Amino acid sequence: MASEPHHWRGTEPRRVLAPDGSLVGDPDVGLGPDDLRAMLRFMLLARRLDRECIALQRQGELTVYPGFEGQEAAQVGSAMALGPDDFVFPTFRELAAALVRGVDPVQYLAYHRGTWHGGPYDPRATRFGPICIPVATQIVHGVGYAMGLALDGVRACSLAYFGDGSTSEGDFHEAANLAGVFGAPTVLFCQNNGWAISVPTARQTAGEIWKRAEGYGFPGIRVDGNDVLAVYRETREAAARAYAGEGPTLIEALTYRVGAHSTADDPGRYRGEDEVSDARGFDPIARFRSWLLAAGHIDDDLLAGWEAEIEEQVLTIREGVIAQPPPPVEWMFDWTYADPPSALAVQRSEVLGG
Amino acid sequence: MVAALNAALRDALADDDRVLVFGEDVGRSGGVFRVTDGLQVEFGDRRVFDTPISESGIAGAAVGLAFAGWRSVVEMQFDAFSYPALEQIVDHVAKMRERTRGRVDMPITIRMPAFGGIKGKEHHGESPETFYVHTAGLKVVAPSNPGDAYRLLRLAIADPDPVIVLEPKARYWAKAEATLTLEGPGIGIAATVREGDAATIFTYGAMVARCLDAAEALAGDGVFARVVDLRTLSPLDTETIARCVRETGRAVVVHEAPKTLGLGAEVTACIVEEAFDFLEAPVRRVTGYDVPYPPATIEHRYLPSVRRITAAVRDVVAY
Amino acid sequence: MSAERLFSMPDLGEGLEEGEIVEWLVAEGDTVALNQPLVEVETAKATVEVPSPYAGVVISLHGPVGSTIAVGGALATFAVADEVAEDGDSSGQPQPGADADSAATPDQHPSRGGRTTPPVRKLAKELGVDLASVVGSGADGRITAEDVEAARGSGAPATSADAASRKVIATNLERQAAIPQVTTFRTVDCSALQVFRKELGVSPLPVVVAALCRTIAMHPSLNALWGDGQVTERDRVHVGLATDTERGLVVPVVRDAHSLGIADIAAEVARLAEAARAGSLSPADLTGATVAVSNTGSYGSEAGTPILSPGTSVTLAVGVIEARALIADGAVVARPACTLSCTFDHRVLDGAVVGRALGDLVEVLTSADRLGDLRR
Repeated sequence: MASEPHHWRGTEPRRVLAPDGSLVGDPDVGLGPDDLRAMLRFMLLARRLDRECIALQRQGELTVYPGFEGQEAAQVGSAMALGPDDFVFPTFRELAAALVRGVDPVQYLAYHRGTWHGGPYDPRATRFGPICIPVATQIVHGVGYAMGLALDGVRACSLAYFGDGSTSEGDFHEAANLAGVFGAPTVLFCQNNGWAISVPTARQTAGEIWKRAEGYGFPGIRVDGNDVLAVYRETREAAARAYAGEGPTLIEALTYRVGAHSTADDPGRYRGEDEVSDARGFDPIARFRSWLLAAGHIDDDLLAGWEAEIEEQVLTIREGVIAQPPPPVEWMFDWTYADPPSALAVQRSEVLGG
Repeated sequence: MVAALNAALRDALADDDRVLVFGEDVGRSGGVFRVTDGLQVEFGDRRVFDTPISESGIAGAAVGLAFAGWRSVVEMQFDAFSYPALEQIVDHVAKMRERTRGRVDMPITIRMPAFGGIKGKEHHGESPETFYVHTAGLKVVAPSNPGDAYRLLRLAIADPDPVIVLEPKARYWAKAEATLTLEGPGIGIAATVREGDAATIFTYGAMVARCLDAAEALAGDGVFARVVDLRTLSPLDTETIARCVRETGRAVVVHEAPKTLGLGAEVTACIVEEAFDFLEAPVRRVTGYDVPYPPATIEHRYLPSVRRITAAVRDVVAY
Repeated sequence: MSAERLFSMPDLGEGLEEGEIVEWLVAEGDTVALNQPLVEVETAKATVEVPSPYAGVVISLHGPVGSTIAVGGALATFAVADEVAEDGDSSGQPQPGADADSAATPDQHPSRGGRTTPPVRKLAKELGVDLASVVGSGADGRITAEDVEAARGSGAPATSADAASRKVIATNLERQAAIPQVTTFRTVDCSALQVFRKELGVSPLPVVVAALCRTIAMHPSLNALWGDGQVTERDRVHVGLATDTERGLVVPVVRDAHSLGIADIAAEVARLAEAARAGSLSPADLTGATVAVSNTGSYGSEAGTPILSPGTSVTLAVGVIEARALIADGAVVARPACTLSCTFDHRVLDGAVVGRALGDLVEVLTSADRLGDLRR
């Protein structure tokens, strides 16, 4: 058996499905067969789309694209655990979570096409925040949003995604501290994928991330991020705590970034191929698929049908991305202020020649 | 001015139940300058509350709260302590409306005691306005008197855009007669606080009072300088600036902030662009020096003095 | 039905400018599927496998292995099935901006009506012109420098400018008066000169200047100058021509007159005269004279005692050319003649030297042969 990723060592994470596909926990996480199938299908679509995005970048249709291959379970499992009134604050790598939450992928990818920052989808309508580049800043937003929910007495939560690198930023600390002090109904979801560009987790932080929660006065969980059922269960429970007014939860989901940090990155410069091929031995999709087959929830015909459908879907998304025109240049001026100063109107008319 | 600001916060909280007031020490103790005094008692700790020492957290929480439909009025305890929040302010508060094409707005007010002149410790007398004025997406106001302080803070809170409110702490306790009302010029409009035709002194914040003293001294010698309180630093009232230079032909800009890239540079550029033909003399700037704000014992040598201001006015008049 | 699609080298990193072809993974003529690996490209950052953006037939590959292709350069051309009319940019690059920004208007300067600009205001102050009384002829009624100049020279009572230039003249003359100057006179029979100069179609002045330069060549001390307790000779001859104008005496200079022919001297004299009339002489035109000639005959003077021009040790005044009674072959004859009045700096020259030089000058001016030797 291949050796597990270096940053998975230490405290045993919570699991339902072991890496070899065997059951080590209770698979009844509250999902029926239809939902379980949907879960796998999302993961398959996400992976296929992720690879298509890399191709699109190589073909000049997208600017720099940050892939997430290997992290499908961490994102799909957690995103499916949220309710319709919950709000997600992502970083820049959460395309899979965006798909689950119903964000239009062409609109999401407009960000990477350089059409518009944040992506032109409506965050309030999709309850999925704009793509956020400055790492950890969005965690604070998640906490603030949760404080707002609590003020309104709404039965919902926020969930902020962030990576192991983000936990070094001051904003991680400030967000976690605020969350603890205010008992904010929020889930701090860390996808610890082993790498912050070229810096491995061991050089990012000396302790285990999930343990920090105790310092802030709320529970921390370590979960196998490549075990989609475990991820789903832990996120579901964290959300339930939040709904019940029991405050925040920190979830550290152990996963692995199989690809490069982004299409502008060359991981061969800092890690070996052996490590990556070993990590593929812990693949989230393979594990879940084999369990679903064994449990009789899917069969090969269904998988074949899905593959064809997913090809179609991805092709449609590809065409949508390519067809996307650049934005009208006046957009640059139209949303800086609700009430723009007259000097800006002068600049706007200079550019538009009007 | 403290009383005026306090009244503005009280009236805003009463007027709109989506308004929140939070920051360090603003709740139970009413703020280190007492600007939020009594508000928690009146409105409860749900809407007026203390936070940990967490400026970036405070600004970022305001962003998240805005997503959830709340209107935050946050306090940065001192001007220099707003710097840890600069990333959240520049990257998110200023840009979220643009980024989401208007779907998510940031009706956030960030207030801070600003500027020097109180013999404060290091980092307690900063003039950070250039950073904020230079950031597209923000508005910046700097009232100089209680009446303007009340009105501009109320307007800032009601504004759908984020507004930085720089409160001249040296004037917090200055007493003046004022009617506290929303009636009056809005954000973006300067005020002529003393008439004159020999030259125009453009200034703001704590320096307004000092420029008025300078104008009084000059009048004794028959030089009648106009004094204009800019009041809003972004957007700058370029119309008033141009009109005053057209009418008086001479300009002196006075501010505490260091000279290089202070507001004086922007005002001078504006004058050159809008009123060049009417200039009788070069524009003079009377400002702090390009050094870190000095210790209390020599602060008076750094800040524009009445003598430096009158000398500059005399220079441009004699040119 | 098929269409051609060009695939250009994309930016494979962040801001890369080019890529080198490492290996083609397809050949021309191959049928390829969408995303099929097409080529391996090496960039400054890494070696990257580029997938085909089209399904179709490869028509051409635009660079051999080892060649470097710039971002945006042609990489491969495909024939694709043209089912749907494509509106997108066939180069496949995400376009940064919609409009033809190259035609964008530059930042517009807001036009404002106004009174005048600071430099004009300064000029008016120096010239003592009251701007309130000047009508502006510039854009938007703006007062221009020309408006101010016109206001000064428009018959208004003597402004401070006239007084200023009178003062300058007086100062110069007082300084020159300190030099010990002596004037000596010669009468010149101008018969040969008049014939000669009429043939050339010039006035007498350029001929006199040319003849003077020839004389200086024989007597270089005429071109010297007293200074710092010694005499300094100068190789080049710059002839100042004392000229009377509305604005008073100006002395424009014909530079390097020693190297000019008569025609060129005449042309330069004409140019300087016109410029003096128009008031457009440049400072360069007015400085550097090493010797001066004054055409006093132009206002009828027969002879005089010209004051030395600054920078010269010899100033020659040419009196009016008119009929005089001269002696030729023992008889009185009527001949065109003039008097040359030559003032010299006695610190530099003595009467005998000047006398000899003038003798040579007169010999040239009175001899058809010698005049003919002058460079035309």
